[in-house]
Formats: sequence, structure tokens, C-alpha cells
Amino acid sequence: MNRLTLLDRMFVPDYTDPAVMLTGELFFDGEKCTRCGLCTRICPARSVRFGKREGKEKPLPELSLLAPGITACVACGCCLAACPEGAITITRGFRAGGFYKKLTQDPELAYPRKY
Amino acid sequence: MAEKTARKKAPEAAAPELSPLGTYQEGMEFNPVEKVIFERRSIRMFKKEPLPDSMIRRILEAGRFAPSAGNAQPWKFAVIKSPEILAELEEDARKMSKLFMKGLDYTRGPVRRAIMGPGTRALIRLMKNTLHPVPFSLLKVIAEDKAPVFHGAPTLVLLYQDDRGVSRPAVDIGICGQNMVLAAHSLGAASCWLGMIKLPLYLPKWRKRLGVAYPYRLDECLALGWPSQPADGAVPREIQEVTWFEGGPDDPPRVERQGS
Repeated sequence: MNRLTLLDRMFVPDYTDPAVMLTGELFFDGEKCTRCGLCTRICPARSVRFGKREGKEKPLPELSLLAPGITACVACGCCLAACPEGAITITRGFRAGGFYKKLTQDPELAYPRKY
Repeated sequence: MAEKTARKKAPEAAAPELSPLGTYQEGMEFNPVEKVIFERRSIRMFKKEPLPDSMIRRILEAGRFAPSAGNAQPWKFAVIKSPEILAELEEDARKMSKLFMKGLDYTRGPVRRAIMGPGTRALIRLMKNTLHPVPFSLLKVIAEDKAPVFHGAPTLVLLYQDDRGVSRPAVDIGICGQNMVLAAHSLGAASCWLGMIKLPLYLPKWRKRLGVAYPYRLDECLALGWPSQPADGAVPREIQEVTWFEGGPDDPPRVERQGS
């Protein structure tokens, strides 16, 4: 099983380094999304924004970046639970490395299962 | 990798019938308690109008009857409904976040990084929970005026912890608050745990005003109100590797992926 090594314990990751900070990533389905903007208002970190307008079509929401490759998304799922169209998917959960390395959590995400 | 199939919300009519309480069959539909547990989300969008006082009392009642170590009931509650006080708390919390980020945020520009990086990272190691990357980035967006602290909630319920409780009073506070949160959602209210109440409490005036002095400690509060949009619903979570000790004393335990 995964262990926290002595090196891990000593190593506090740089919060802007995408090599050790895997922050949340979302997928917005352009065909389902009605651009209602609910996700931009419900995000706890206000990290969901409408993208830049290109052409006539209203842009899709997207995650804003705190630093290159770093979002403020922690994959809490508030936006996807609230989305009336089911247009949002979490494609990557939040995982920090080094001192904050997770040990018994698999990166794969799963919905509540009826055992 | 993460589940790729986004879930279109099932129409109301197609919702399966919930299982009755007090029964279990393998693979059965969730019961109403499980439904509330799995579909509760921390909601941060509230209507201005507060919950009726009777409903707040009903939610507090769920907290009063939470289990606690040694039945110590090491809690004290306060309800803040005054819009003026809530606005003042919000303002002071933001001020504190700005102050902290002035001294700690090494992520803005190479100069700050060179000067502050090592010190901040050493402090992160010392205050590993408070300065975890998640609250750190939240503090950053709060300090930049991009996110609210208390989300315009019309009511805050403060959960004071009596330090003289049995075993670990902080655990009791968690159980007590979650009782209230689940009760709130079962009644159609919205709630959110907020640890950022710690921010204004760095100011002595708030500690005095809110009565935060030994034996009371205040680390958590609950935002309560009506959701301005329906936002509860199930979400995916990390699969957990669960260790099962089930054979003889010399058998190695089995690791099972819970949820997969």
C-alpha cells in the first residue's frame, strides 16, 4: 500500500507547480450546455467563468487558472450537481503531492453505489 | 480515469420509489435518509429571506440530540440573523484574508516567490490544515474580491466547542453539525459548513462580541437558508481502498476498492 515517505513528509509542494499539484479539471459538454451560468455562480471558489467570446455563439463556461496548469477546482461537484442539463463532468479530481499525497484514495471517481 | 459520462438529471416522474426505513436487501434502492446523505451538497446560493425561526429551532434540535463522547454534549450554539452583523463579519473576514495573503501569498510574481516562498512553505508545514492548498487558494480568491466568505447567507449558526468535553470535543462538534445539516436538507433548506468564521475571530473585537473565550472555541459555523436554485444532487467521489481484516489473526488483510 502507498506510504508517506520521509521525503514526502519534508516536501511541501509549490502550490503553483502542476507537476505536484493536480487540481480539478472539468468537461463542459457544448451540446448540452445552455450557457445559463448557474455553475459560474455556484462554484465555491468562483473558479468557473465563461470563456472568451469567439464569433457569435455565447462561449462555454471554463475553469479559470490561478497559475499555468493550476485551477482552484477541488472537484467538489457543486456545479455538476446543480447543472440542470447534466452538461458537466469531472475529468480529474484534486490531488496534491508531497506532504499532502493521498494514500488510500484512488483517483477514479464513482457515484454512490447501492451495495 | 474519472467517469466520462455526464448524468442527465432524471425527470421527476421517473424517480424510483425509495426503500422503507429499517429494512435492508442487497442492492435495494436508497431509503429517504440515504437519499438525503447522498444528495446533500454544500449550498452557497441563498435567498435573502431567512428560514422561519421555528425551522431554525427544528434544525438546532437535531444538533441538540447528536451523540457525543460520554454524553458530554460539549457544544454551544449561537444564531446570527442580523443583516448588519452578517455584513460586518463578511467585511472583517475579507480584511483578514487580505492581510494574511499580503504576508503569505508567494504565488504572485517572481520577487515575492523568491523572498516569501521558503518562509510560507515552512509555515504551511506547521499550519498544515489551515494552509492546506484548498483553503490557501480560497483565501487568495477571497482576498482578490472574487469570492464571498459567507455567501450572503441570511443565517449563520455558530458551533462553539466546549474544550472540557470528553475525548475529542471537535469530533462531537462535527457530528452535531452534520446532524443539523442533514436535518436542514431533509426539510428543503440549504446549508454549508464554513470554517472561514475563523478569519474575523483573529480580531479581538469579534472574540469579545461572540463570546469566544475559554472554555469555548469557535472553529466552524453553518450557513442556513433557502436555496436560491435547486442544487442538491449526487456527485462522484474518490474510490477508497478499504482494508478488511476478516481471516485468521495471521492472515494478511484484504484491500477492497469501495465504490468501484
